[in-house]
Amino acid sequence: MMNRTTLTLLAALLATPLVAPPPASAEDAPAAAPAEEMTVQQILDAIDANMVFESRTTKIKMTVEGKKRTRTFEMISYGRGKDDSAMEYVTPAREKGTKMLKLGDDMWMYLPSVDRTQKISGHMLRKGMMGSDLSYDDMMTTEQMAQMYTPTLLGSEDIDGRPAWKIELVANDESVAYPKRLQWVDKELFIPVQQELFALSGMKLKSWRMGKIKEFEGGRQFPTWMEIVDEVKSDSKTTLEFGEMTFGVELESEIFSQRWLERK
Amino acid sequence: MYLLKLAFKNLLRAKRRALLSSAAIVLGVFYLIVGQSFIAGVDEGVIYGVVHGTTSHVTIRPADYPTEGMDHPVDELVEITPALRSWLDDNTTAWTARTMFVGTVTSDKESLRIRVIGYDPDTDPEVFSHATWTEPDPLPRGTDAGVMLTSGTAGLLGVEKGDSIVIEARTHKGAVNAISVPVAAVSRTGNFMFDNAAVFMPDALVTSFLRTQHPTHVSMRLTNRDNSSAVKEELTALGAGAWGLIDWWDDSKDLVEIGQIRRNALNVLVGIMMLMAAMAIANTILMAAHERTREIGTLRAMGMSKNGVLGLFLAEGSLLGLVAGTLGAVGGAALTWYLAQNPIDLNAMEGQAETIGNDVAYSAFIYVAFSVPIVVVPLVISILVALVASIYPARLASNMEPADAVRAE
Amino acid sequence: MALCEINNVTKTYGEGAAQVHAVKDVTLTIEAGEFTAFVGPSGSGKTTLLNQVGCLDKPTSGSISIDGVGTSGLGDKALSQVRGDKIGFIFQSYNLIPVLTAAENVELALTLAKESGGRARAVELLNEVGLEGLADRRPNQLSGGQQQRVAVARALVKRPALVIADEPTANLDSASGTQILNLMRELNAKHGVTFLFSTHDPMVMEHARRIVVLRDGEVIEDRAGGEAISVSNVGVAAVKA
Repeated sequence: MMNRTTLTLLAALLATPLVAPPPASAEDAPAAAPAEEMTVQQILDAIDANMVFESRTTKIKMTVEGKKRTRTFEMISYGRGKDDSAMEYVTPAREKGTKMLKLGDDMWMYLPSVDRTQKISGHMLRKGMMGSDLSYDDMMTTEQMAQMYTPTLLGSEDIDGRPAWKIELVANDESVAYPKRLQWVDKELFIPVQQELFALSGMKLKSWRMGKIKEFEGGRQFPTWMEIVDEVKSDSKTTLEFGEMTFGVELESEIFSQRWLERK
Repeated sequence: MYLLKLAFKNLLRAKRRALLSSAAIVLGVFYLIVGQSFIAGVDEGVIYGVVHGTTSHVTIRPADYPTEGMDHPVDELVEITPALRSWLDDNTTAWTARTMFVGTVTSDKESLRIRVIGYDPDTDPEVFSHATWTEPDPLPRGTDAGVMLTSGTAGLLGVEKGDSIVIEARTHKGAVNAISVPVAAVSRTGNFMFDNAAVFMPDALVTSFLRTQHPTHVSMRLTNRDNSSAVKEELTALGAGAWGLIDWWDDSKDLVEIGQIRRNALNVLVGIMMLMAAMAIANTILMAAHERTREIGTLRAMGMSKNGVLGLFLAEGSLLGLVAGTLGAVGGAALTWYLAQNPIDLNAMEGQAETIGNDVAYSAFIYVAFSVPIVVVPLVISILVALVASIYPARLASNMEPADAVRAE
Repeated sequence: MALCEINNVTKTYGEGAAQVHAVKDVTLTIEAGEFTAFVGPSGSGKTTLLNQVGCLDKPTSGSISIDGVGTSGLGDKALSQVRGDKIGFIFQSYNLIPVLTAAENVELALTLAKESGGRARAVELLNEVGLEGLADRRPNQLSGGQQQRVAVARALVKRPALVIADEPTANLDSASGTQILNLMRELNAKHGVTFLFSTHDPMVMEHARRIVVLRDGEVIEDRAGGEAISVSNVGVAAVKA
């Protein structure tokens, strides 16, 4: 079955709100200073403003590379608003039918092999119940980050040929999971395209990058590729490719219910 | 008494037959003694493992500390107040503080979640005997010396002394911390639970790594481990509910209770053997009575009463039980005593060793507990069994009509 | 008073049609010091009668008393006591306890009679019967005659009122048999011990001072002994009665 890292990433994925570029219409754009003169707070605010919480469906292909072997999965992810998402596995055959559902802080998982739905409460996720020290915290929204971190703008760097702001986030107190983060934010799209997570000792724990930005209907630009690297374990990497994305489609409300988990 | 003397001489009459018929008693007593001693030894082994591995005689830990699974949170700690410290100093023979947590340990070859035990290098060996550890004083100390891995852990991670590993865990408040540490020592502890997967980290390093001021466990050795319940009560009063307390019995009783099941099974088995022995003895005494009909008549003619004859044959049966039981008891006691001095080293037979889950301390030696009651009780039982078996034949003998008996062939 | 009084003693075995009257209404008196032989063919009841006298068995009806003590109504314990104290037995097959030495056999009789004297007295008696130096031999290390002597010693060691000897010479050759009889006569003369024999052996009858003849459970003759009686005379005596 899936290993712990994969499960954690799935949890993180379900939690990831999608970020979209600013709407085409200028009137709706937030008042923003020209890119070169922005303060770090303004940058973060811009990221926040770009959050989109429409209903969306995404096809995802995930490749998990480990020291011993590489595995590939295909899933379909559904998102609704800020807090609700669902995911189901399509391949490989062994995992087909496995489903996860997140409603607010609650999460459930359904495994077809035992025909059982198990609740995975947010509390347990935070405590790293699935055997990992990583949790939901990994993929915090910027609005939470604003409360927990003090940001400093370090400058600019090019990532994948695109200019980005480099921001250092230092945790305000020790209860925050990652004492330090580095974020590179795409100057045009205001999407974090690279992040590095550090331990209290300063050791780099994880890094992830998002790239291959494509344009979708309605002018939305989006990264379609994400790579997560474990910096502590050697040869441990997960790659996600986002396929067809549809937005604004009225999703069956039934998907976001426990009934859906067990439906064949 | 003349009856016993006569009974004894009669016993010597047909030695081979007597021995054959009592063979079941000899074996039964032997098995009972050796078997019960093994079971008692297993119990002692479990208790030893618990006392010297995880719990000592009494352990204080936070009130809601999880009792199952691999969860070892460090968000709640046991603060050693001055009151507690002075109580411990006054009322225990030794005490020590440990911090238990679970971290992800990564080497070049492998990454695993492993239990880490933070110890005080000075007091830990006073409470948790390191007598079975393969390296007598391997405990690293301070923040730079590194950590000690148990042999199984080093094997799993594919590392040796001198290699480096990364340990990742959450601090007391919840932040993720990760450090690279050298493997200062690799040792076998003789305790399966630890030897499979455990890392020992000096408390100075734990404090800086997890930012904890206090340990998660305070363990103590008492002058008499049977006082543990009383001690728990005293400590509960001191700790005002903030602490959970467990003693060595709490942690060993489930397994020891399994021992009771084994004991019962052994008793049933041996009971069946004793039953067969009883039938064999009854038969032997019956045969003796028939063969000695004339003798019985003569004794009656000479003035022996019915009860006298009854007593004679009961004495013969009981003596048979006594001799057979003694043979079995001597054999069983000798073997048990030898094994008690020379425990079987399971480390040497690792392939066949038994592990009972990850959470139970189990010593790597099979102990056999030698005690006098274990030897004496089966002996007494064998005499009683033989006595009861002889009742029917003895009554038959005593009811023989003297006039007819005396003329039998 | 007579040593032993036998009054209307009857012993029957079995029930109904199979009933056997082994002893029919016998009345006899035995005085102390007698040397008496009970004779008769097999099934005449002599053994049965002596069993009653010796308290090995109880009469179906009638009474027996020894030394003034009635024995017919006694329970097992008391009866055993009487046997132990007052009656010595000598058997055809010697009946020695095989696991005990000669001295131990004799000593056992003392123990059962609850008398003191122990080994010393046993050895004394063994010497008296002519077995000096053989006190620590087992029965299987003694000849038939020697074994019977041990039996005699055993019977006498407790100074019984009565010695009952059942075919004591039957398993002995004539030489040994004569020796035993002479021994018993000596002891009878010396100590005044009463001897009652049950026998077929004419030699015994020769030595007896009184002869009681039985047939079919009844006493048909009771006379002084000492005469030479031939087998044929037994038949003649029967005809006379």
